[in-house]
Amino acid sequence: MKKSAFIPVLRRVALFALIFIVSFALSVIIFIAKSDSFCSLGIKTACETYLVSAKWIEPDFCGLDNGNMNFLGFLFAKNYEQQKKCLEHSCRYENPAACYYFAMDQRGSGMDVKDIFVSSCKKGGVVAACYEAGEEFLKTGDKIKASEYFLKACDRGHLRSCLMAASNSDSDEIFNKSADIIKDKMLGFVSNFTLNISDKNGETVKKEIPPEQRLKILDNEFALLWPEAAVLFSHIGSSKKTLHYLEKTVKTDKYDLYRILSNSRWNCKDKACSSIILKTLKDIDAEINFYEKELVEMAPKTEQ
Amino acid sequence: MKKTIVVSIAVFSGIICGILLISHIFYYSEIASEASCLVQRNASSCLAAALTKMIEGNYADSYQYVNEGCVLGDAELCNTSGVVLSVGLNGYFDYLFAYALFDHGCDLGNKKSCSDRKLLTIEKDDIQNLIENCKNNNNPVFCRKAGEHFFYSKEDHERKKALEFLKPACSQLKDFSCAMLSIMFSEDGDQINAKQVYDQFTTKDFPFSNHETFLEIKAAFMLGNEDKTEKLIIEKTNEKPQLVIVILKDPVLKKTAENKRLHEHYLSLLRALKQKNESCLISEGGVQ
Repeated sequence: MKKSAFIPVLRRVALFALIFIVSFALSVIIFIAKSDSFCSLGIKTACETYLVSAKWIEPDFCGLDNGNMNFLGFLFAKNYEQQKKCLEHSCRYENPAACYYFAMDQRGSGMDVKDIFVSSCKKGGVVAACYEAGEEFLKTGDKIKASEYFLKACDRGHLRSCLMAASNSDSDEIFNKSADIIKDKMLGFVSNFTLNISDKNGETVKKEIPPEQRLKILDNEFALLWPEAAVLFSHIGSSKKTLHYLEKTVKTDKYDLYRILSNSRWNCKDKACSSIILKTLKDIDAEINFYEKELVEMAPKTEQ
Repeated sequence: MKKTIVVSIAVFSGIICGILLISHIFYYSEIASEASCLVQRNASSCLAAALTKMIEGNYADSYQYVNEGCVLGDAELCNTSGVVLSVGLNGYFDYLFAYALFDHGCDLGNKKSCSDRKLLTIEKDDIQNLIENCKNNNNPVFCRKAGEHFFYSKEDHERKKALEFLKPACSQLKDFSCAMLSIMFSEDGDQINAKQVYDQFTTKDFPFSNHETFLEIKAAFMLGNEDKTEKLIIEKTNEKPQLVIVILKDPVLKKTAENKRLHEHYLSLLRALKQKNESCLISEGGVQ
């Protein structure tokens, strides 16, 4: 009697468990697979799931690094349009990295991207967003705000931001702080990190980069900001490095010399500096005269 | 009736549990990878933990996990982390740290680390190294640099080689290598491909170098988009007046001076530049 009453209950429990498992599994599969569609319907958890799964499964599909990490994204083909859509959704749901890429993508389209960079920087997560926010403030002529954001990125080890903070701020405090971080990297290894390697005898040794190589590496990292580097080193009294970056500046684009000369912190009175500057200014003068003459000669054609 | 209720409850609770599980699974997987790296000394968990920290922008912690994994002797991890830091993650890069990681990966016998290490110190004209690293490691930055080298070659047969390197660079980087590629297609009269690659040019870093801006303008001009070219020239030269010299130096872009509006714009920019230069010369004591 007891046994016959037990069996229907057992059957019901088994049926319940079976249906539970099937719907559980189905919901997991459908939710992950369709999280992008659910996200576009405005379901926040779906967006988060989509972003997190995209982060690990399809990193170059959405947000992670805009397609550079191919070594992780080999499973999926790239789709730029989908990536763009995904970035927009994720940014709407306040993912700072997605906002950073979304703003980078929209730059030049007429959209005001400054606030997006600012909010992405403030939420943390994307140091480069602070750098870009600084650049945007610089465009509007607000040097104080610009250096505030450059310093935020510099504090977290973004060297280019240190250079920008140092060369755009009138505050000695900001300049010294940025200069210290750069000096620390140039002279030591990495300010907050040392790679300790165990050698064959099991003893720990520090991994050092030879000074010559270190300079070459930083030259690459400072690319496009050599004038700012020249100004910084002239101000802190490193004449060898000042000359190095002055030469690199005029060799790459002689007109960038103006970026050096117009900076109030530029402080190189060496003969070597003066002769490079004078020669470059004279070259520029000759070049401008040549093209001005050419343009004037072209003028009658345009009148016709 | 009773059966329907049981089935409904089962379906409903199954769905709720499923959603709750996936909402939290990623969170716990992050914690698990950190613990597995530090406690179980598992190198690949260190990479997972390091990447998670980098994505969160917590670079100091991420360095700790990278260090841990690399020191555990995983040459592959040293290389992967070096690539992340040299190519950039969320716009963040650290060439010095990347170099140290490649250096150690190379010491551990990882050949790719040895060649990637060169990327960070390579000179612009080291063409053999650029080609080798583009082809063997499929690194888009090397490909772009190699493409750029051939793009500016004056020899026709050399210049054609640029296509081979600019194609992979443009498809992966979507930067000014697409502008170079577009110019090359336009020169060959292939306007369809020229437009297609020009539209891929999406990376909008600021500030562009004069060289990159010049390429963007030239690509637009060669596509025959006159309005866009004029708008671009005025906008960009107002930001950087010296661009006018770069434009006038190029035999193709020089033709833009035939446009009356641009002609006047160029002249006024040149005169302003001249004035600026003269005042600099005076203050440097170069003009008597």
